[in-house]
Amino acid sequence: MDIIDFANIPCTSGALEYMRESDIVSHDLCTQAAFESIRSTGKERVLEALKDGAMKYRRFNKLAAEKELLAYLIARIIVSCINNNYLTKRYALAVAKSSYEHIKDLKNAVLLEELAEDFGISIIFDNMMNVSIHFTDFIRCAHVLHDPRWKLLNRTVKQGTLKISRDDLARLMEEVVRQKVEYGLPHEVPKDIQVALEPYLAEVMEIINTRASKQGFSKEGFSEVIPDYFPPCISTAIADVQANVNLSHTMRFAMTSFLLNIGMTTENVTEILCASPDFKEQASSYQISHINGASGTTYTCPSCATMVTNGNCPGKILCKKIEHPLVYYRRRVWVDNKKRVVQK
Amino acid sequence: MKASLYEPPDIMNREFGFRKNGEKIVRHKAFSSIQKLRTFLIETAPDHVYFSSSKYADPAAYPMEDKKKSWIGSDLVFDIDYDHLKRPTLREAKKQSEKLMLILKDDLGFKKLLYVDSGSRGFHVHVNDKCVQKLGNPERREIADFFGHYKTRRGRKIINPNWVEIDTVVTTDFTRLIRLPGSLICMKRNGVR
Repeated sequence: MDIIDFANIPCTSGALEYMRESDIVSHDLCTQAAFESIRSTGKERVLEALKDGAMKYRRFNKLAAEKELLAYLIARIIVSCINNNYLTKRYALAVAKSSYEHIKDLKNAVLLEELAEDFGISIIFDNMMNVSIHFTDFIRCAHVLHDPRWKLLNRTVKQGTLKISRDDLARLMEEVVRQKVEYGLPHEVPKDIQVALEPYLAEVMEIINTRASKQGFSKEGFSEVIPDYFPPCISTAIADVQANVNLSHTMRFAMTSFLLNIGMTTENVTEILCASPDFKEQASSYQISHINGASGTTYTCPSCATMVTNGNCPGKILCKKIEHPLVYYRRRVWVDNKKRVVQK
Repeated sequence: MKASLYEPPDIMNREFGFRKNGEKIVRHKAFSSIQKLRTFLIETAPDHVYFSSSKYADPAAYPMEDKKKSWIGSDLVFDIDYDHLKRPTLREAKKQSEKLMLILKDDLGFKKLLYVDSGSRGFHVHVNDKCVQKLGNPERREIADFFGHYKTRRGRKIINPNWVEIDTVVTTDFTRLIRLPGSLICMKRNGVR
């Protein structure tokens, strides 16, 4: 791999080594006037990531590549200084996407093998340039991808390995890059460097502040309880309980945590559960208050993926593109509120 | 019948739990060697012995959050209980667990497999291969899904030929304790030891 590859896939250990060997110290980079243009390139990359969610893919010559690699350092320092979860994720994704564009065009099998090894993936090319990959490496990267073709279930695995196309490999590597960049950030930044980069930070901060932060699931986010908007999994469970059908342990947990998460009281939940054939008041009320945070941890309802694995999802067709039961509920409440505003 | 006590690899990093006379489980115990464990078992004669599929630098740490911080890796465990099957018989559980073993060996290519009776309701399979040790929760879920009922081919839902009715929670949640293979000898059944 050469400097041009490093500039496009900057999280490789080769790129790290290259930067360590060059005599430019990050302190100089952040303070000296000679590096002004590199600093603003670094800031531009962060802004690009924030605004477009991707960086433009660029073909570099050797000189530009060197500059780009240094700008990557600056961009990382900027992201670390701001230390905002959304920015970190967004930046990591953007680096990953532009790396994907580069990896996709790599033709050399030796180079790809070298890159894969650096990412902790062992691959073997066959004559047709198809790639064999161990299934554990595959799921490590692919478990976050939602398309059914990335499920291990939908692939043919033989003796622990499966065959993927070169483009699939590039996509998996994109995921490795994203994880690598994201987990490495934020890193520690000395106070003087933070001060030196102050003017660059302000511009990025401004854009972040204009965007409402993504809300987590909190009881305050849900006002009144509207059973009509429960996701299919939860309403099926409630219907089952009321029809005296015994629920599985995992489904009972999911239902209880969901109801508590949207702001129902422990008494209300007990009322729903008491129709269950194996209802024991003492045990149930202990379990409910435990889920509600009696022991210190408040449990959140499991995500759709977990519900599917445990066989508690009645079917994905009803709620396409939803990844969490609470998101389904929140969205329906939101749509309803919007309708009401329009009617008024 | 006499079975020899199974010595889990890296026994000093495992958490152990015991239950006696139907009382609450006593867990967060650790032993530096199989001899120490054996002595403890002889002295206390518990009815049930459990161990963690996970390995921790500090297996006796409590609460669980502290223990998880010293996590080293986990075996992959599969559980088939006959009473959770569509056809709830022990024979069916055996059939399915044999199918599971074949898939684990031939398709997923595992080498270090341990196939045991789970105690009363079915079978456990422990996978000790190096490649599974560092897998996290979502990756284990992918493996559990590999044995799911349906798969997708060209956008259509079809029956998965690898379908096995495993207990998915046991496979995905690696903070659980599982019965120690070979410890069944100290279980009382109908009053006969």
